[in-house]
Amino acid sequence: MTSSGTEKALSLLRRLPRVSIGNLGPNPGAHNEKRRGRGIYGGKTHGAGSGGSGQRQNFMRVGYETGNTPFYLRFSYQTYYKGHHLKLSYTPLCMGKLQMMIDTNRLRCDVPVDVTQLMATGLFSISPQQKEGGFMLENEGIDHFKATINIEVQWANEAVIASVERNGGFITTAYFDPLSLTAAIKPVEFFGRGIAIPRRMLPPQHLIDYYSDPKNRGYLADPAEVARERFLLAQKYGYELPDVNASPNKDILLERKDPRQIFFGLEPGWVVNLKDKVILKPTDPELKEHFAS
Amino acid sequence: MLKMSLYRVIEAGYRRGGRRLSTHIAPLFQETTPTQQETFSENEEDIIEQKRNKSRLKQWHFAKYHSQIQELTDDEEQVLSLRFQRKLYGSYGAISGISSAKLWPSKEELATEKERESITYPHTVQEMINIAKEQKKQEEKLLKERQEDLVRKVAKLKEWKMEVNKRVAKQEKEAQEAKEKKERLIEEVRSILGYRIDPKDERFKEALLKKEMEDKKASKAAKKLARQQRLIERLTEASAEVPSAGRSSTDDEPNRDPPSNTSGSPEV
Repeated sequence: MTSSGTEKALSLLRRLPRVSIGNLGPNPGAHNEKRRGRGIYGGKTHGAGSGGSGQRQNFMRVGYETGNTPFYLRFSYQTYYKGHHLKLSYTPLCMGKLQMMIDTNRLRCDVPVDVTQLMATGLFSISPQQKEGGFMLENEGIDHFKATINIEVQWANEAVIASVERNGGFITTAYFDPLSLTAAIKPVEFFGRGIAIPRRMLPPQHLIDYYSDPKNRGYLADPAEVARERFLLAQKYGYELPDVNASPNKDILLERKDPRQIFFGLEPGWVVNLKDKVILKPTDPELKEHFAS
Repeated sequence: MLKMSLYRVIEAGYRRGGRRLSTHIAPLFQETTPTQQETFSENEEDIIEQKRNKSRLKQWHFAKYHSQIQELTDDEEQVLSLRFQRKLYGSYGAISGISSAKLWPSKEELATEKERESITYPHTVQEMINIAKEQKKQEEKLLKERQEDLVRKVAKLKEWKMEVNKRVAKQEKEAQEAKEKKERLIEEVRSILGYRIDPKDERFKEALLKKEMEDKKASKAAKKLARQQRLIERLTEASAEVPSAGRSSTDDEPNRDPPSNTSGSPEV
């Protein structure tokens, strides 16, 4: 004599077109459907347990350890974050992602690429107020990076520089102080403020070393030394340095910003109005002198 | 109809939920100019134009939507901040009526900016680069000095170790000797008194004192004896040499006492 369970199972097999989760259900009594009580009489203790301080909701403050110095008060400082407020952090940008953006036409490489262009892709967010300095290029994907671009970022290591230059491109590392960076990442908003384009300020003392080093292609380094380093790097990594004069994008590749310049093609002191599509330039000699310094 | 100038006095109050005076939104004193919804215009066309506007939007909403802006009155120009007026220009352009001279820093602003820069960025690029180089050099110099110092010290390490060991051994030996001496004293006193006694005890000290005195006497006697012996020896030598009168002149012996000294008691 077969059990009721087996009989049930066989009957299911007979009548169901396809046995699936949607057709099957648990045996009665398999799941305990406890219904949670709600309201003044439902649930009895409302999660507070029975009697005692718990039910009376008599809680000590969070972190209190019944008298001894609590953990969150034991350490007034930690050495691992010393000087964090003086250091900048950079948004990482892999070479692979850069290549992807170029391949999918998200980023155009027929103009010099800088912070403004990278932010215009809409894929990144930088907040200078949170001590973010800009972009730093990372090693991931340097082997299959194939684009020829003139790129300006805030931090780059040797391998990244080599991968850019191998393809005939140029890379520069440039510092943007917080106000200049705010202008550079959101130019439309900046121009809506109706003020003159400011001068870009110098890096702080602890960063001047990096940006004046031709090995890092710093924007404050001597161009002749940078050219020499390009040559040496090519020898080190074992690639042939393409001749820039032969390339069709020569002008774009050789375009560089002045250390005081924020936007390509715009000088400090100019007022740009996007509504009227005009650029106003100062005439006062004092102002001219100030913005040219 | 008479043309009327309308003046509206607005108190600089606090807007709901605000902590600051709302003068940047609503100045203290405003000469109102006839706006679109004012029915004081004489021109029939204007009145018809007003009636054409069926949006039922508030005047300021309509203006905002259509990016319209009224030129600022003299009062407003004085009361509203430069920052706000520049923003108006930035959003609306030339129709805002803001003078383009306001867009650049004023003399005061420029002076403040220059002062701030001179404090925040006191050095030129070249100076900063040189400072960085100097700092690096200093660091390297310190490191080098430290390394050299370490090398010199490591060379002497063996010697120092030996010295330390010697000192330790010496100290141990001294301690051991002191202990032994103490033990010997105790033993001697014991041999005198007949029982072991604590060195700190009075009787020990007395016994020790007695022993020392006896030792002194003994040593004195010994010295005396030794002296006598020496004298006797000298005398015997002198008496031995005197008989040999016919000796060569190459006698290098020092002057001897003449035989007359042999009489009498020895010198004390």
